[in-house]
Amino acid sequence: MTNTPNDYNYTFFEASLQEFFDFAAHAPKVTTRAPSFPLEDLSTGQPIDMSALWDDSVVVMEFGSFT
Amino acid sequence: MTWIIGRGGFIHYKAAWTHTADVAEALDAVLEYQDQRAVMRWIPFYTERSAWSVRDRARFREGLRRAGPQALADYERMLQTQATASRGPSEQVGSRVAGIYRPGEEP
Repeated sequence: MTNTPNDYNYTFFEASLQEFFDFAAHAPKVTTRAPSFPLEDLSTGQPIDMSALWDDSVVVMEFGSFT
Repeated sequence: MTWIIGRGGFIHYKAAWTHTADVAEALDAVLEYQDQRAVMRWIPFYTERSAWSVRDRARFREGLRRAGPQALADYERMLQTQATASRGPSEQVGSRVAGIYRPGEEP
């Protein structure tokens, strides 16, 4: 499968020191509860809340194109 | 960045840069905790730590190619940005541990 720029929600990824600092200092912490947000089920195109995924099982979220 | 979130939205694991083995170990622990909640008297604890991994550059490049041209382009751009930043003067001295940056701290 070949990905195209249209498959991503940004033109290019550029990490700055401030962004990593913000992640360390201001993103939700371990042992707190994550906020829920709307997602799109890619197999059906239907909206689903993030919280629906962790109601019954563990969720692993991975961000970044080269992590 | 990697997150492991359990029932009720409880954040069990958070990492900026990490290693697959670290994520796997954390996930195994979370799954065991949830599976055995009814029979084990779990006592929670909290840690923060730094860790290291050794990169297999050829395998990493293969992973980028599998991820697609955007991943390759993003990585190359990141390398160029870092190379430029390391050559120029800067008052910002952050931690050398990937993923943890606190302005003003000595490395």
